[in-house]
Amino acid sequence: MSGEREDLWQALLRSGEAVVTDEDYEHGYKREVRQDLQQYVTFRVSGEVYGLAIHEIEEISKVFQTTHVPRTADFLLGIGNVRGRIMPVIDLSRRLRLRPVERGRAARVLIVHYNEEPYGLVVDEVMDVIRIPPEAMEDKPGGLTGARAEYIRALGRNDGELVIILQLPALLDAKDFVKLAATEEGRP
Amino acid sequence: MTAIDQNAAEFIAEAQEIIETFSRTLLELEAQARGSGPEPDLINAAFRAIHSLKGLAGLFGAAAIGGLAHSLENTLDSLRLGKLDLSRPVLDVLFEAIEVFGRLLAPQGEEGGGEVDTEPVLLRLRQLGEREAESAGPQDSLEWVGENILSVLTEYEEHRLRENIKAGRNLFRVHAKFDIMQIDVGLEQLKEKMKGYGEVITYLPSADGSSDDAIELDILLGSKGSLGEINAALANPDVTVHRLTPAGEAPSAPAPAAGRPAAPPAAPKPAPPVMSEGTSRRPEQQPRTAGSTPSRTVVISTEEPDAASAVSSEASLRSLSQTVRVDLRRLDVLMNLVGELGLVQANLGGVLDGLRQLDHSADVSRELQVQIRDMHRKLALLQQGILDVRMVPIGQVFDKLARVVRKLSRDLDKEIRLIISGAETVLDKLIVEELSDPLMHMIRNCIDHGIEPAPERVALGKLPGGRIELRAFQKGNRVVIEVEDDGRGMDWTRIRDVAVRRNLISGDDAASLTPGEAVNLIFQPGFSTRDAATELSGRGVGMDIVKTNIARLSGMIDVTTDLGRGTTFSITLPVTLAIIQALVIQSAGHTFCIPLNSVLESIMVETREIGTIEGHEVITLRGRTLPLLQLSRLFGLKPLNKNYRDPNRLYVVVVGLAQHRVGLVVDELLGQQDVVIKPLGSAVRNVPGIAGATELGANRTVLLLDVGRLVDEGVRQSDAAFTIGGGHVR
Repeated sequence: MSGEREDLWQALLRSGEAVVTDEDYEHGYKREVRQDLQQYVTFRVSGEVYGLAIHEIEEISKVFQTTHVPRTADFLLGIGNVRGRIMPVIDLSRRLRLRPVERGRAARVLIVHYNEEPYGLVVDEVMDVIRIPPEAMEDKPGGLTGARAEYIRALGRNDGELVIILQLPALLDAKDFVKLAATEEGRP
Repeated sequence: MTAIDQNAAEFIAEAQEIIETFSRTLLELEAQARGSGPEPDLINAAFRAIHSLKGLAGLFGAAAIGGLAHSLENTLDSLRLGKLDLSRPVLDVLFEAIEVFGRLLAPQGEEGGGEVDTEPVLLRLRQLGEREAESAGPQDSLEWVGENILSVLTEYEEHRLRENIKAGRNLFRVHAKFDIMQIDVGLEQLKEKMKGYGEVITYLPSADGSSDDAIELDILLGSKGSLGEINAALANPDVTVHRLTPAGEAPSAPAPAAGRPAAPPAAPKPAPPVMSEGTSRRPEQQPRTAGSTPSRTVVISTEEPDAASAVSSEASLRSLSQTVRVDLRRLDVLMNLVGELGLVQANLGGVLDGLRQLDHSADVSRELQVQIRDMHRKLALLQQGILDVRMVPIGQVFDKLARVVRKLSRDLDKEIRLIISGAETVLDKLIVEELSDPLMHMIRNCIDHGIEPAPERVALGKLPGGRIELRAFQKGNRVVIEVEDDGRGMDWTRIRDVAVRRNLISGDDAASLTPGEAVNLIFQPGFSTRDAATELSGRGVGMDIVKTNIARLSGMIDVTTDLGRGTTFSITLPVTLAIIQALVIQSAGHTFCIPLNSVLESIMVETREIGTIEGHEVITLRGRTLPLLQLSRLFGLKPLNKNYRDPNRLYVVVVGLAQHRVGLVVDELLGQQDVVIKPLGSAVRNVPGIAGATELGANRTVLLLDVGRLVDEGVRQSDAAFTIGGGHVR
């Protein structure tokens, strides 16, 4: 077990509630965590293990209700509202073009921050917070091509297990959200 | 925002405010110069405004503005000292200076920003100064007034004294005694009374008879009234009036103290109160701000406490003590919070219902109900309060337009009378700002295209000068702004022919146009009846921009024209955009909000009433053909299988924006509601047809339709069939 575990995160994760709360921010908890850029939150999407740098994640929430937005790409579940903030909520398995699996009770929404706006990413299960030493990171293999490659920032090894570190800007590229020629859709 | 940006924004906002005040004063002065002659109070107000600006510019190191203000100040000083007459050329230079200030304050990088050459206007100001030197003539002796008075008069006071004598007024010395505790109130009352009879030239502290608890003042008053009248008017045991005559010094006058040093320490300084009278008459103008301030700022003002303190606050640079400048974005944050509190309250209502299920908690739930109701009331007040803060009078824009009219009428040599009414009508600050460009275009069109040259007007039996009326008034929860001219009106056949020539519509379409539809072609992009672009208008962008800007504010624009008689444009706007009333509808199981201010009506239509024109569904509504849009089809929503309502009847929400109208077919009308609009993030912002999101209780997020966009789509869909709408140019 080379991945060093974070007791606090574990405790919070076990409770099944939002991992970071507003109170935590106020007491500087988040800043403490943020200072170490080599921590990653790992989560499962359609059976594969992915990771995002911990500073990119603002909150982990239970799945909440979303409102469907017409004329948008299929990976956008809709917009959701968390404490008055409106955010787009993305089905990560569709975004990554993986085979969707039935989401169970373990499903969570990772609330991430990109360009000063919140986004929700729905994952099947949040797993762990790990620390990967830089030497255990590798660039994405050159052989890995195709549409999915652009979403991958690097590959990390944790306990010999592969963690795919995601590239947030590519995932949240605004131009992918609006369905082109939307007006022509749905005509009989 | 960095501290420097913040400072710069503050400076710009305050400077613009001062320039607006100055500009308003000048316009008023110009009107007076044509009539009874300029009021000294107003010239003083203008002088003070520029003086404050100079101080402000010095504080912020804005050298160009400071320099111009300094030159202007000299000119205005000459004006108020009577060394210079307020003639047309002088006014022209003063107005020019306002334009230069505007350019100096424009943000860098924008049009008119960057390097501004102040030299031409400075040169003209200097030329005015030279002219003044020539006009200065010999002066009559004033010795009969009394050396002890003359010796303490400032140059300005002396000038006013001469003016009063020249006007054949009598001179009075009013000796008044005030209780030291009440001098401010007493003096104000006395001043008020005297103002009705003439002009207060100066206040001189009087040394004799001063006791510890009283202050005595000599006031020099110029008045047409007689000694008896003044005495009667000021009837007060503590006030005595003497008349000063050229025949000799008033014998009974107790000589005032030789100089000011003898004044009791608590006596007010003589000069400033005189200078400040101009503002005390118009306190209602003070809370106004500059028109389209780049810094998006609202000025909030509480009630003016009284005229006296309003005076002192305007005169000093620290200033505006009752006013706080607030960035509009901060108000938006507050607005959002209030909206969210409303939701919390709704949720509390839910909790209350839950409590009621438990019988043993009857007392608690009753108490909770009372508290919730109370909270509801307070929340409504809070919301209204924040909305009120955003409201500013439309007069801000009208003032700017008055300047435009003045300039254009000079440039085109057309005499124009601008009649303004309803300047006090309030609108959301954001809307007022966005309005200035469209209104400016419309006014330009009126003057350039509408109003005929004077000879032509006379030949038609009209007055040689054109008339433009700007009206604003509230109508229900909307504000209507009308721009009316008495010019030549619009010839619809000519508009139609121009539109064909410019390929805006096909010849076939043109043949079937009604006059009303033809007139609406002026809102088409690229429409212009002039072949060569004049400097003012004619580039064919004017009315198109007007339409777009108005539509962006959820407003509508209508035009009526009477050939040979004139044209009226009428803009209908919501009062605010922060909270809007929305119609909540349902389509294919999804809920949407439609801004109520773009909903004209909701009707129920039988399916057999629906006809088609080239495959597009339409109905005929009161003689007009109305294209129908199926919202579910437009948005690609799967219709629900279970059809619980009468399949032969449809709900149609008639929406209109600018001059287009379309019927949206929906499944259900759920009612009206006040909603707080929240912006969508950048990812979803560009979805066509969706304008924003809002919350409808129980944390439910609902999308707000972008009616303008949907109407455009509807028009595009059915263009070939019948419409004169935007189809052909796209």
